[in-house]
Amino acid sequence: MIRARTLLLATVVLLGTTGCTTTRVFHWGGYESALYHYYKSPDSLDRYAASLEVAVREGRRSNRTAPGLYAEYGYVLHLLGRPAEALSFFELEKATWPESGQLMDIMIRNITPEVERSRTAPDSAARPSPGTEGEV
Amino acid sequence: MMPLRLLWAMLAVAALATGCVTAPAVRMDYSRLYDQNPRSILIVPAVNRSVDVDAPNYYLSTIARPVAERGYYVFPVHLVKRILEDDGLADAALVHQADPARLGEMFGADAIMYVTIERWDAMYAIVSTTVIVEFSYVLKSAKTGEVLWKNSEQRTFTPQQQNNSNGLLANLIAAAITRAAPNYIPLTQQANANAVAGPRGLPYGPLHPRYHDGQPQTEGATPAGSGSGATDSDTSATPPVTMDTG
Repeated sequence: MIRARTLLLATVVLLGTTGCTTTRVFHWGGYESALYHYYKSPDSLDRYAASLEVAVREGRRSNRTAPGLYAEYGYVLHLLGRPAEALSFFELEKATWPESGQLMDIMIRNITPEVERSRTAPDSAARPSPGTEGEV
Repeated sequence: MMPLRLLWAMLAVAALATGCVTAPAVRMDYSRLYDQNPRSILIVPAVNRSVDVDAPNYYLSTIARPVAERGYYVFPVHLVKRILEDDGLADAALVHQADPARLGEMFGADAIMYVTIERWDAMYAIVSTTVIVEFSYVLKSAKTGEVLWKNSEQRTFTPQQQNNSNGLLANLIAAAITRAAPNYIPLTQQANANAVAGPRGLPYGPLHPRYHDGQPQTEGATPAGSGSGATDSDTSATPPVTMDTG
């Protein structure tokens, strides 16, 4: 017991003094862990969405959202049948990262009819129509 | 209680031993990378040479951050994977064989990163389990298709053997824990970090505050999304060691 505790303490002290700190350029939130868990249990889309929502909200506050995160969240919103919000996040990705412009233009073009449909038929906007889930 | 704490301490020691090593700088030919000066990198799903069918998905969750943190726009890896699947390119080997220029045109990317999972396994013995990951990385120009950069990394983890009176039992339990749920993610994070940010890693890209360090001056280097006070160090090959994978 003492050996283990001593070892742990020594490790912590060493880690604290070696200067191995990494300052990140971007804010990622729980993105990596959330994506891992989503792949582990693909039926946990809601949990993945919740993690991304927090990550992009925090990132926007500090203006350091990591590349790709708005687009990943937009795609999840599309899967969840929230096309208007999805569209806004694809636009946000494009505005933040001009490098994503071509891909985001495609996403925006593909989702716009869905947004218009959901505006004219608000009752059906809560869920994606059958057969379209997962299509990009 | 004891074995868990032991394992925890061992993990920390292993991380310390493998994560922060500053190897002597290795001469790498970066001339083509500097010539092309890519801003954006498309990371396509990894080709899997291990027997673990889950490895490519789990791997994909670890690679975007270290590459982007070097200062490149990394396309959303999961969205990219889904688009490729919908486009009939669910097989990563097909994607890796496809013309880089075609992929580049599809997504508007400057460069494509191809990762191959060479190893992703746990070797079992009675009182010890060794977890091994090995990856190779190739960055190709989306304009010319030529290789701009390549690297490879291997990481292994074996719980250290105890030689005291409790040793055998502790070793058995540690091996059993590792065997029941080998956690590849910390090793993978270390491998990725050293591959892209270590001595043979990628130079700082246009989105990094230190982009110009040691590089030819180029236009358009203002980081669009980077904030205040990012002071990176060259020992940035230290990944977070713990990740909740439960």
